[in-house]
Amino acid sequence: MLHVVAVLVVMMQTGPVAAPPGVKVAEERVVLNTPAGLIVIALYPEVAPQNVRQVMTLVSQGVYDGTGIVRIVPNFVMQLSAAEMERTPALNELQRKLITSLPLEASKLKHVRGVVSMAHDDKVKGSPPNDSSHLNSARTSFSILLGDAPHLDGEFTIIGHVEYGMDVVEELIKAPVQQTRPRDPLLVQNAQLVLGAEIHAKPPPPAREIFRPAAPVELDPKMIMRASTERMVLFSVGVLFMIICSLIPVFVPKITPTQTKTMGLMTVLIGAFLLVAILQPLAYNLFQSDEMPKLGHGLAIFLFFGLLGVFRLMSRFESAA
Amino acid sequence: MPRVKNKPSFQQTVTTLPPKPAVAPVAVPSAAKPAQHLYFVNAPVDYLIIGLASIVTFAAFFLIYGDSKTVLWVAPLALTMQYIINHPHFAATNYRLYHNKENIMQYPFTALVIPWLILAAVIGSFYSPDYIAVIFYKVFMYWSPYHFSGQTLGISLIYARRAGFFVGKWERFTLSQTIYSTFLYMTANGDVITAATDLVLSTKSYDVDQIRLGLPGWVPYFILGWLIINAMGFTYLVVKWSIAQRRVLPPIVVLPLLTQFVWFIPGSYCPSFYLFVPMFHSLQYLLIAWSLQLKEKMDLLKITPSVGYVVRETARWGLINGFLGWLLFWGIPLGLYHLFSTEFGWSYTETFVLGIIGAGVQVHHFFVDGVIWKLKKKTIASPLMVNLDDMIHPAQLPPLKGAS
Repeated sequence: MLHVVAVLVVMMQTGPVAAPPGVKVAEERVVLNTPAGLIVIALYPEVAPQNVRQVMTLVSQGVYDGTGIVRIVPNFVMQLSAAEMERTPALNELQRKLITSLPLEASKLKHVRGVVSMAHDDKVKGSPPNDSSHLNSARTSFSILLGDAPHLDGEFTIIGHVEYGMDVVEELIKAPVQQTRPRDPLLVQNAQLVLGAEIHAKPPPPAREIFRPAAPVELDPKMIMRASTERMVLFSVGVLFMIICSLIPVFVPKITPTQTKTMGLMTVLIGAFLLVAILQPLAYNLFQSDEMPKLGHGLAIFLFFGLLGVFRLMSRFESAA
Repeated sequence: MPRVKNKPSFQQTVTTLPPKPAVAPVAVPSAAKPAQHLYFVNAPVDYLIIGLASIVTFAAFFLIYGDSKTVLWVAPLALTMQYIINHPHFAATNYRLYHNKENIMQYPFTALVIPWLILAAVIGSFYSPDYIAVIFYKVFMYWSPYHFSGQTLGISLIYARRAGFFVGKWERFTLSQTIYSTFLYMTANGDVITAATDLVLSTKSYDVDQIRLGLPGWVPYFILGWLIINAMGFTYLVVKWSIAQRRVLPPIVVLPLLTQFVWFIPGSYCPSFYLFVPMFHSLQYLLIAWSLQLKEKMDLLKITPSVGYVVRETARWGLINGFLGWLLFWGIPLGLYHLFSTEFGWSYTETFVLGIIGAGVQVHHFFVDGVIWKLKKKTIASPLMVNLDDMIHPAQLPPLKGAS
């Protein structure tokens, strides 16, 4: 039920976001296809004609396909990498030639949540105070604002806003980061231009859940005793299998020593599986505690080498030797 | 995976080391020449399939892309190769075990009992996708590279036997420890954590949560040290053998080991290449399983060697395994998915169904592979020592090819 409500809430949130009053939006939208879903960007050709023209050209030429999200700062920005520097595979010659440094096209628009703003180089340290050349160095990288940032107004070129897919952005920014960079590659699989009318006719689906925070588990060494139904079923069935395997050699006549050994190996295998199922959550709990991580590591080492021992035993399955 | 044990008779007649000379070696008596082919097909084909192709692929990925970023075109290609190579490789074991009653009766537990045990684990995974499925998948993810290592050891021993290289207690120990350490290093590396939040990976595999065991950071280094010690020991024994035999060990004997090293140590840092490792493993397997199939059938049915036989049997065997592979990994899971989704309102994703049933099929393969190479047929003479020539031309005790 909660899931259904959550989906409904997300669906309500994913309606189109309108442009600020008086701002004309380009007919074509930029659609970024990400692992969490589609992000639809409406562009402002009259606010930032040069920047918008270049972005649309680059999208149509596949420059943004495979670019990564390189910066995530909660409540501030999610930034795409500079395709000319970081994309894999590297851009081809034609794509490179299309990229030029763009001038700042400042406007009265505000940097608020959902706005798409071109990134540019930082000011070179030691340069004269009146040197503003860095403002005119936008090329391919842009950011999606996650919150209001008035200090960026007039300093960066606003080229559009996220029309659909802020829920997708919210999912993407859940990615684990080192500093502000996603720990694992988080790529825009492809980017394309699509007519706005087509998108309105068939709006993109809600975000896919791709990042789940580690479930908070309380430290409770007795957790396995408070076994959930699933655990109870697992252990009951597992132990039943083990008993059957152990008893077969006793009750089945004419069973060979190899077959008896094989039944023993099956019992060991099932037991090992149950042991992992018991100890893994226990190790998890131990790691949650500041005092017992060493015990958690010890348990992990036991499981690691224990599993290998079991696999080794399994190579003797139905073997007379 | 093929496992070869050095039988006493073989050691005595073929590879026993010559007695140590009392004085400076003037004329070391050479060990009896192994009267077998070194290769299954020929040097280029065997080298390529056993390891050279994967090493070259790794080098290309490394040189072109330099770092470990994922290359977009790789995943669809790897997926396509699954149909052609990976899945038929799994099917080949099933075909070998189940295609006649005699085989089934030789290993009744593997053939008839284990499938039910695995079915129980698969049903458990569907019953509890967040718990049993996660543990089942973790066990599978460990077992898979372990199984790769078993194959690497088996292939190394086959070539050692073909090359007449004596594999005694210490040779086997150091070789197997080196091989298994590559897998252990890679696996342990993936299970190291620095914080409790690292225990659950941020990405899923086939919609199944992936967990880490939580090893401390020193474990992979410990394993690496063990690997180096054993590799040095094995190298010493090879050099000693080469000096005593006055011939260089054919590189094909150590190629499987080098290949596995590339797969699991530098290769594991290059995700795009790593996607192809199962394919290369399957390729190795298919070479040997194919040779065996041709030889066994030829011996059993007393077929006259000919090119026609090789072509016809290859096509028949390939088609059967291609279809069976498709059935096991796609046909059955997707059929079940659609049936249960419509009839019983399953809420599992298609990916999850493919992942869990695929894991079950593969775990079954690990069991079957453990016994399939021990099948005993009195009518068959050393099929693992076969060469393609034997199936094309009538046997005439061919000389050793390319061994020195």
